[in-house]
Amino acid sequence: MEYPTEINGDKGYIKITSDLDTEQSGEALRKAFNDVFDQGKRTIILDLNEVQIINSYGIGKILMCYKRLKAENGVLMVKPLQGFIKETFELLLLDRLLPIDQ
Amino acid sequence: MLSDSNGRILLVEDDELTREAFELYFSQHGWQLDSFADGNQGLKAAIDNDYDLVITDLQMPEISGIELLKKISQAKPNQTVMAISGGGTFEDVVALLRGGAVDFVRKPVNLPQLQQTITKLVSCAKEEEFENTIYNHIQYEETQHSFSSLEIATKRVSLPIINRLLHSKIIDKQMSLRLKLAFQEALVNSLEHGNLELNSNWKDEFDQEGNDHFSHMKKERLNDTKYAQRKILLTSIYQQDKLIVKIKNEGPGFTPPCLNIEKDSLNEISTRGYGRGLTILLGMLDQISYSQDGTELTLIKKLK
Repeated sequence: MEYPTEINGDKGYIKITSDLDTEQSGEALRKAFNDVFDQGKRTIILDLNEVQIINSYGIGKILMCYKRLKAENGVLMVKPLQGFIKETFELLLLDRLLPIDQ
Repeated sequence: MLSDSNGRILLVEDDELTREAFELYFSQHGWQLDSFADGNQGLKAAIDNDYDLVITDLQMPEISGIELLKKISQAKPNQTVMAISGGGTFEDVVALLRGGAVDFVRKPVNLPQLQQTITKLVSCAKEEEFENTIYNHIQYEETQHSFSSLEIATKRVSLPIINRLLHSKIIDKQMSLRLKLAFQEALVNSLEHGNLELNSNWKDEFDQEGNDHFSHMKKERLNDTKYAQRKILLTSIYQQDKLIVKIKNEGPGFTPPCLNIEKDSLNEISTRGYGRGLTILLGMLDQISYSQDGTELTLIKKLK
């Protein structure tokens, strides 16, 4: 499983194309993040539009990305959330932690 | 639907010869068939009447088959629709199937074969409607499943009752997602902290490539038969007003965590590597509780 990444200026984009609830999806996120991070990007945006379910494992992986960026004064952002993912983020107060990239 | 008829079909087809062929064949074989050349009239008929099946041509002048399918799906989500066409691209067919069409048949249509397909479709739709009706009258249902640690770690285990409640319209899509997520969290909790005896703190220990110690230890223990063959017993109890799920593991047990999340600060909940599973459970369900030895978790969700 691989998630597509894109560089646009000083921002890196990762499109999550599956539910983020298994080791495979967590590993795919880790690799995609490393790919963008190793290219020097410190503003990274996650697109979660195709994600229907995210569990604590997936959120843990997202927070790993958040912490690595924060350690280098970077920022992890998300594309506007909707539906159940938005509800889960709000439940866990992550909507206050990760800015929205409009 | 007439009691002595196989079923009632609506055909929306602008080609007169096709309409006539369908009308003759299906009426001779015990079906009641209504047909319309005008897509908008066909749409009105589909909404105003009860049909076992709607058949639509893909390419029509006033309204395309895809558009007709969309409008019927909005008005009558449970209506069974299939499409026929002499043309149409691969993308058209994908759009039809994604839009909810159950089948697509190319012209010229083999009518006897089509009748067989229709008979199966109508029979399945009636069976599903019957099952959904019966399910709404169930007072109590209890099921038990047993899985090994390895099975839970490598296969996507789901609770069949959640999909049944959704199909029976006892719960909606949003509720079904909440239940699925809560169930997954509880199952993983029981597997990782129960059977595999993994420590949550390891989630915050990383190597330089971002690999966490928790994942490493999980792989190691799943390869160790001592942990991998421990079982997890799932019991689901459906009563009309609530769903109860019990998840019991064969680990040594642990001191159940504090269930009062109000004590945690915003930052602590948000950024630490663990603890969110419990927050999710508490947010998605009405009640959760551990047995005294920590080996069994009980989840309760009110349905009414």
